[in-house]
Amino acid sequence: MAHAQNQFENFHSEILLGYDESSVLRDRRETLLNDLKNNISKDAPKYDTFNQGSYALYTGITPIAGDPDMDIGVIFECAPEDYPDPLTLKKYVRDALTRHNRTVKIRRPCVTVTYFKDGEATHHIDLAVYSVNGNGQTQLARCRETDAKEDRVWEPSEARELTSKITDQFKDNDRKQFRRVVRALKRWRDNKIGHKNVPSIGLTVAAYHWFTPTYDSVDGKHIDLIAMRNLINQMLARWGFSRLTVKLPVAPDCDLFERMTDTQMKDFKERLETLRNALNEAESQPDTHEACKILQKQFGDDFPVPEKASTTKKTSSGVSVSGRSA
Amino acid sequence: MTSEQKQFTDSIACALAELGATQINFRLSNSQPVWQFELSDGDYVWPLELCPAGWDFCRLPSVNWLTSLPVWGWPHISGSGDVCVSDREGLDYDPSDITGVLSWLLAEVKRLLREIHGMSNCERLSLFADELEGYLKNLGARFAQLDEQFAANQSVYAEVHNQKLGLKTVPVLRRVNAGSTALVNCQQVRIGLLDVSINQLPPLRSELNANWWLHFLSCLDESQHVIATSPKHRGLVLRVANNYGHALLTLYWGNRGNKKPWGATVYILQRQDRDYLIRRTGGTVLDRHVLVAGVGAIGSRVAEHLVLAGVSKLTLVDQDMFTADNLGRHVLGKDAISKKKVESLASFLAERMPGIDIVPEATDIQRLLAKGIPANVDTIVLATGNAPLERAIVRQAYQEHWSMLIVSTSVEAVGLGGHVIAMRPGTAGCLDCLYIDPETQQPIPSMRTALIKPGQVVTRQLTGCGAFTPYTAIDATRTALIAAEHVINQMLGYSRWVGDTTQANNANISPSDTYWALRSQRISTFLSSSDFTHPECPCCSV
Repeated sequence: MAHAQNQFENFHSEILLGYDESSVLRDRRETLLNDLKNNISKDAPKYDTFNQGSYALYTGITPIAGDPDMDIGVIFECAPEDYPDPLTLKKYVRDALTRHNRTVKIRRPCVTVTYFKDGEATHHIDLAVYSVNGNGQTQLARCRETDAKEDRVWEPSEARELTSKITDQFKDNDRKQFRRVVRALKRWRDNKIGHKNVPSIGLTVAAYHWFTPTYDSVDGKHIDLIAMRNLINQMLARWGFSRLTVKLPVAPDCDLFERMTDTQMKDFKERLETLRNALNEAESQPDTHEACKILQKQFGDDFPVPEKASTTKKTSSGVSVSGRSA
Repeated sequence: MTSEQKQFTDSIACALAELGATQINFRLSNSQPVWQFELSDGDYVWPLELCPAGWDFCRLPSVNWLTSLPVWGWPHISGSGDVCVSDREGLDYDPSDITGVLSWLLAEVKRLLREIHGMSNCERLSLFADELEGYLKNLGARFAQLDEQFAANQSVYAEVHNQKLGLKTVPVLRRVNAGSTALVNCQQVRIGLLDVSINQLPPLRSELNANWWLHFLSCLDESQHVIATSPKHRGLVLRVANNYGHALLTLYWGNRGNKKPWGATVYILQRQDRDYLIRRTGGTVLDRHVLVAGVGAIGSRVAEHLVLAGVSKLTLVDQDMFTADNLGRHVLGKDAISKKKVESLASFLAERMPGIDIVPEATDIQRLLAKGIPANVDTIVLATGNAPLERAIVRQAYQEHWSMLIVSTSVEAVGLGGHVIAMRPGTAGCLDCLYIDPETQQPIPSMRTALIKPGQVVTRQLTGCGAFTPYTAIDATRTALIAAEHVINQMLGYSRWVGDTTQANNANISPSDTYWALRSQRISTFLSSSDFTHPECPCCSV
């Protein structure tokens, strides 16, 4: 029976990409926010910024190819009524950030800054623009320049509340396991399905709803393999006729997988079942080496495969200081 | 009288009147408030006296029946008329509720008096026999020890100490025994053992005279008379049959010669035999032989609690001498310094529980086991602090199919917790199961459920020589109590406890993941044998 816990933890260290750990991400953010601060129109209201998305949720991973993306929230100190046309605020942001090495484009949910190197897009940063209504609820500016005026709207969107809910759902070591499992699942998704077909936030919120911390009852150490298997079983058990619905636990309370086509959904389910079966098969292996070979096929080459136990040299000192007495 | 005392007396006077008392008279007796009054109860009028213990009701006041004294033969009523409505154990009430407390108290007094008054003389005496020892205690009778139970027709002896009181020497009975002499400076004299009924006893006092003796003799049958008047006897143990077996008292008259008139002192025999002492804890004597290997801070306390729990025999194994360094957390004191731990502990435990059978073995446990397990050992407690040694013993036990329960126990440093693993050869789930990495199936050098992260130095030095593991007597005792429970209940499984991190933080010692999992109650502090069994364990799975 192999749980490959050490390998799951090493895998996590390998794929982990956190805002706190990455000076590259921090530098990019600083540069962008400095540009915004220095160049934003004097007509724009005051604003505050915050991290949102996977960096705020501590579920960011290194992408398989290319540079990582980032999400920033820009929350203006104004009410929707002050700017009935939300495009005005998005333009302030776009105009402040436009530079020679990047393009800035207003998309419906955000302002996207795309960076280029040698003419190739390397990564992008999405800035979501918010105001706050009279009830204190954040409203997302949803509009493009090409949208008719009546389609430029403020929609309830509680990104900060979502971050709090997800980060507060578990504590201490349970929280660490939650993040490891979400990151592993996201890497599996990147590896098997592709980044764009199953949204990351859908996987994260599915884990928010259905993840249960799992550990060895004797020594209390977490078992990520079983935790992930249990989470997948929970997701599969909730599959409706043909779809899995994962509701955002804050406004706008939408289904995070609603944009997936039925074909994508079917593929997603089949691949989840394959992953679940692989986890079961790995667990049943007497040797961690064999288990990890099975897991590597699912999670990719970053999942380490140790030497066979029979060929592994004993690396422990043989004597330990227990600190126990009588 | 202070204003508070005045308020107290006023409250009581009001409450008494409200509760129907008449002829209420207040007085101070030895500066204590006393009320005398009458209380009607149907056809009866009870003359009573209320005596609070001070100027409040923090202790339940006593109520005396003002009748001709001394009272004899009325259950629940002392010689001085104190009506015992409650044994005063576990009472709870609001002491400021004067009326409420008095209402309950007087109702109980009336109920009791009416009930006893309505009994036949025979019924009254039968119940009174149950309380005879308490009655004598209230009369001021002395106490003597009784370490053992008597068989029928057994010779009984008294250990008498001649106590000097000024120029006089007064014989004082210290202990009654069945032939052994244990007390220093005591003379052993023979006394009789006489079974009598309560009906044969004239009213007893703490000191008895010739008139009482003659009256008593007149109540005895011929065979009883022979025992009572045997010239060999310097006293008599009276076993007065009651619903609990017997009330036990001794009349000691000593060697009075022919010139002095007969006179005797009454002693209540304070039972100190193991059966009585164990039953008084609510337990029963356990016919068990437990071997405790290692009598350090944990082992000594395991032994102590096993003795108090009624285990009949202990074999204590440890070759160490007791040193002053042990004083901080061991059950033994300074008297044991430079002596073998097992010998001092055996003496200590024999004092804690008379009649216990203790065998001290000042040797190494492996050397002892090599000679063979002592006969009839049904439990082995391993409290050596040496995990490799204990694993070796457990492996031997499984290989050789020993039948006894084996309990391995240890405490973690800096108050983080303790472990008790109870196993039985033939049943999976052993100490070695905890030394296998479930991931690699490979043996590991330290217990996987250790509460301290591996690789840290936990021992300390105070003098530059003499390393020690820092843990407190409380840590040792908590662990020992759990181990003792496993032994007493013959309970298999793995119990652990976790403390807080105060000491660990001060010592810069990091707890393990297992500690945090236990502390946050993610995992259970008790695991059944199957819960922690490793299927590939080379010890218990074979």
